[in-house]
Amino acid sequence: MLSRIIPAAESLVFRHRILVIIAFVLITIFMGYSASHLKIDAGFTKLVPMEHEFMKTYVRHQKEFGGANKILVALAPKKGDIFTPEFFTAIQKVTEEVFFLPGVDRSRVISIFTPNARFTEVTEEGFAGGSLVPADFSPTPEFLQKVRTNLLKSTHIGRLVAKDFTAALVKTDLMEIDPQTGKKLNLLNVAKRLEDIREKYQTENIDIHIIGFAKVMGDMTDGAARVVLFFGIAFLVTALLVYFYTLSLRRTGVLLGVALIAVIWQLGLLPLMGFGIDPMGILVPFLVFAIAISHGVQMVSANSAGLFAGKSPLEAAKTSFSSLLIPGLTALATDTIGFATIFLIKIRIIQEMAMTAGIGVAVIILTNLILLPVVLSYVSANEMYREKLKRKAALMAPIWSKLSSVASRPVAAGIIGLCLILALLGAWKASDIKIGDTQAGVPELRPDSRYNLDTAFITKKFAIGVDIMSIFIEGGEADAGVNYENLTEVDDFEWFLANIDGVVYTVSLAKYLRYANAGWNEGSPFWRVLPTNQPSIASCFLGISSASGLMNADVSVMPIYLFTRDHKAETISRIVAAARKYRDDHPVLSNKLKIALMGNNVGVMAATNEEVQASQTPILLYVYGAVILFCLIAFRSIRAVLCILLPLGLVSLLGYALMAILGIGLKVNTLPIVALGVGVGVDYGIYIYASFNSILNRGESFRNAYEKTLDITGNGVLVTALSLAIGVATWIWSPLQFQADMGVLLTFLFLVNMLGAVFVLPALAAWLLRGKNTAENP
Amino acid sequence: MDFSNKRTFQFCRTLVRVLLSALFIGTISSSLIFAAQPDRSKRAAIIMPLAAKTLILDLVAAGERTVAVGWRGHILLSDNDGRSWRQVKTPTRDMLTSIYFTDDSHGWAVGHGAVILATEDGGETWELQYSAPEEERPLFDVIVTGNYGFAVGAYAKFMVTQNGGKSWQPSEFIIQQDKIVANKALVDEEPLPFDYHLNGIARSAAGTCYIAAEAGFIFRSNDGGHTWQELPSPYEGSFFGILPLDGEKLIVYGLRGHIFRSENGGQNWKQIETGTTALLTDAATLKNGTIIVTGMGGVILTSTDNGKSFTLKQPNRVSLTSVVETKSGALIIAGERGAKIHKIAE
Repeated sequence: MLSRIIPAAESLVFRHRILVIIAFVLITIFMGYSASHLKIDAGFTKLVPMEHEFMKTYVRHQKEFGGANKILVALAPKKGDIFTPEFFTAIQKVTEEVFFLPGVDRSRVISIFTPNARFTEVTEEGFAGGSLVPADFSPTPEFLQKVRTNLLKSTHIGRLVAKDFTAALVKTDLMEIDPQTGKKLNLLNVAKRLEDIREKYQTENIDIHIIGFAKVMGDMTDGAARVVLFFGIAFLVTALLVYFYTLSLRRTGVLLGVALIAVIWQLGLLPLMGFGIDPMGILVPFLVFAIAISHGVQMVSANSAGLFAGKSPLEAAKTSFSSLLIPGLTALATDTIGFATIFLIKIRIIQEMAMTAGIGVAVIILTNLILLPVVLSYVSANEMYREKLKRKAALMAPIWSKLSSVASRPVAAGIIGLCLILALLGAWKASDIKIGDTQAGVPELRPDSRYNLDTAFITKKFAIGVDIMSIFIEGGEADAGVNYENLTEVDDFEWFLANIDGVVYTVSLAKYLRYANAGWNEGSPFWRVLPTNQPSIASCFLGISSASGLMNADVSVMPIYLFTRDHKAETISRIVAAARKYRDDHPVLSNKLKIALMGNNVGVMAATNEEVQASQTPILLYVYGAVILFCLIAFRSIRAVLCILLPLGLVSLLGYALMAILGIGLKVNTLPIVALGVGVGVDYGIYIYASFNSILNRGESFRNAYEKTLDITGNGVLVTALSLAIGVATWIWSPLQFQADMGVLLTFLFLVNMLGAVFVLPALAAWLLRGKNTAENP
Repeated sequence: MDFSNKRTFQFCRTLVRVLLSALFIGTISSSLIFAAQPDRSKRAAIIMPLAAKTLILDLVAAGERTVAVGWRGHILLSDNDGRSWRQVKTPTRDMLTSIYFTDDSHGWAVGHGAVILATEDGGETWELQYSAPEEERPLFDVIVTGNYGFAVGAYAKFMVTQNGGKSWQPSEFIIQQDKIVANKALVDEEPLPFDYHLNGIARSAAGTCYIAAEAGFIFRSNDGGHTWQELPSPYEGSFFGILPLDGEKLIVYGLRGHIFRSENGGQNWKQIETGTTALLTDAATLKNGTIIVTGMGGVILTSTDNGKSFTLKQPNRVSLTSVVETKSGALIIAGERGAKIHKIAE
């Protein structure tokens, strides 16, 4: 069947060469135009598994209790404490600015200047209280002293102001939809506005520290812009190596041009399908370029071999088209389907990466298998070029001859043995891989980045960190929280939670009511218990409203907030496991309350970690499934599949081991890398196997066949892997930690995949493809 | 201070409380069902790692050992002067407010739900002797001397034992009539029944007993706690404890940093400057004669002149509730973050 399809395809492509080129040019212009509309699209919900139980809880209660998308602005005088007129003027202004930021939930803005920041005190007459900063405040020494006394009576020390009065916070929540415009909130705009606030109010006396998800996205986008520079470097390195490989400026130009066209198409398709580009997914265009180059090199290599053999450019182009159609199609289809299956992971950003990478690779099928040979058919070769190729071939021949010894059984046995040892070591190390974040702060950014320094500052100055989980107690009916038995159960649960290692502090309605009850009883610690009857419970509610976040408007839902020591995956999973066990042991509290897990930023991390953990195996199964399926279709041999698959498997294992050794956690943005690495590796394997197999079928001896394979195909694989590895290695200098991590991982994957394809594959073949020409094996 | 005025004032305060509550229930609660009191008092406390780091209400030295009681029925033992604590099983989850030992092994702990727990083995095991959660009148202090003992609490709750603490009966808090009658004339109508909180018991070396109570009430008993006389009060705010000094000297302490000192068994009082408005919770005289008073918000007051003057220290804002000197002379102070050894020098 293939024998009929290939010539048909060949005549289809080559009969109207001009038309083909014109069509590609027109489409590229259109895609370029479309790509110019590409927007950076960062979103909170994209990074989290929205179908996870926790996220459903989070969404259900987001409206009443705010979300995980918070902003904290800390103002800190460089010298002395906060009680200066200058500082108070600054924080008042910053509070106002934050209030008017787009997407801010105005009811949740809090600083010492907002009316929701109150204090209470017990006097002989009972309770007294008021706003921290009196309404008639002016920055006089008397008023500053008054604010200090009010603060001492409040619970805001360590929360709104630093424990040692050397910093104060403005806090708020951001909403997913901007209430002013009704559209999705542009986080990058918020980040920019925050930076403007810093610019405006940071003086020689006052420092400003800003943290929050919007700021992370802003900083990441700024850093990701640097990717253009890295792309440029990678492009130059690739161009240089490709030139040394082809020894022809024209061929180098054609190859790089076609690869760029693939990237332009991919970028152009994104806006057409309603996507933007996410800072997290910035590596996808690069990956598309890499894959386009590695396929292009094979095409040029096959083409040159034809020219070398004395064929005309058109004939050479047709031959290379025919000989590479099947392996090229197999490899690219494997990539496309493999990437597409990653779509089954239910985290939007990973789906986007899967989708965009899948589209990019599908585009390469068109550009590399159709456009490239057609253009090459116009690139003539003179005697001088043939001479150059001849000299190079002569230069390289002894190297290929030596290297081809890996296809001899004794050497092969040694290589396989070495691989087994590596596999064991890899499996041992890979089991240490951590899910989620392995360090404090935001691991996507450098530890010494402004953002992480700001985080460290705020965590140090304020009593409670920025890592919060909330567990919702759902009463199912109004006033569920105005009931002693219910509150007792909440109180018991909260105490259980407080005792979990990793929980630093807890807050809940029950806890508030205990303190309020003591307040009603002159502040005596003897009364720091839950009020036992309805009237005294009711009176304890006087000081609070649903804006406190301790309950919703009809007191049917009460969250318990857990402030955690950090957001390392092991801390999170320990707390989640304990909370789950309690819920399993107590399906309902007090016969009607339900425990709903869980919200807030660490709750979201818990959900994400669980999804990543659950996806870790499937994502590889899907990709490998695609590899197996397509190799079986193309080569119809289980041995062929093993030859291609086993080296890939080893590389994946070693990739995980490297992550464990470098302390790179398995997270949303690192999860797809190993899978994407498989996509690159499989190309090498398929090309080498296809070429090797076809030469073997011509009746060559095993070792000779491999020597020829190296000359035509292996050569290209080496050049591609080297140029791409050097290109990504430059990412190590990225301002973004996650990009640097990706740089390390991809460099490793490109190089080791190449080694696997060039050395391990033939070694396996030497033993697996038994009976095939082995008699002549020297 | 005129007693009748104080009474009227207190009455108004109570009225305001009730009205506010009623108002609030009207607005937020559609179904005003008084919950049946749960038998929470009889649920055993849970052993938890943080029990030693959370609210402790009282400390006592029992021989070499220090015993602490606290929130959620916690009882903790330390055999190394407070360096480490071991939580023991107790039969209640109610807050325990006070603990008293007659010797190394016999002790009682009281608290919310009107629970009375007893131990005969130095605090290792505890038995629930009494509880009455439905009354909603927690107990705040307990003392046993020979066969007679009593425990006091909210709304003049008064429990007695006649058999050295083997069993307890609810009783009346009897105030000697002459005082009350004297007041009666000033209030036109029937006197309000005395239902103020009795917050703390003290016993002088000579055997005179005192009770510090809500709304500035101070009581004295010359018969070991059977009958009580009301002492003239220098203050309308609540008192939380009394510390008898040598002879007839004593100090009383309470709300908003108030300390008063008397040299004649409570007949005349002189206010002592403290420099704080924090509620004062406990006091103790050390072997070297130094007096320590603890308070909310991290307040530690120290007197080296028999209570005539105090110096204020507030190293942090962690509320403190109890102070005790152990047999070996270590000073342990407890509060909302547990109990630990304290150095006076700091």
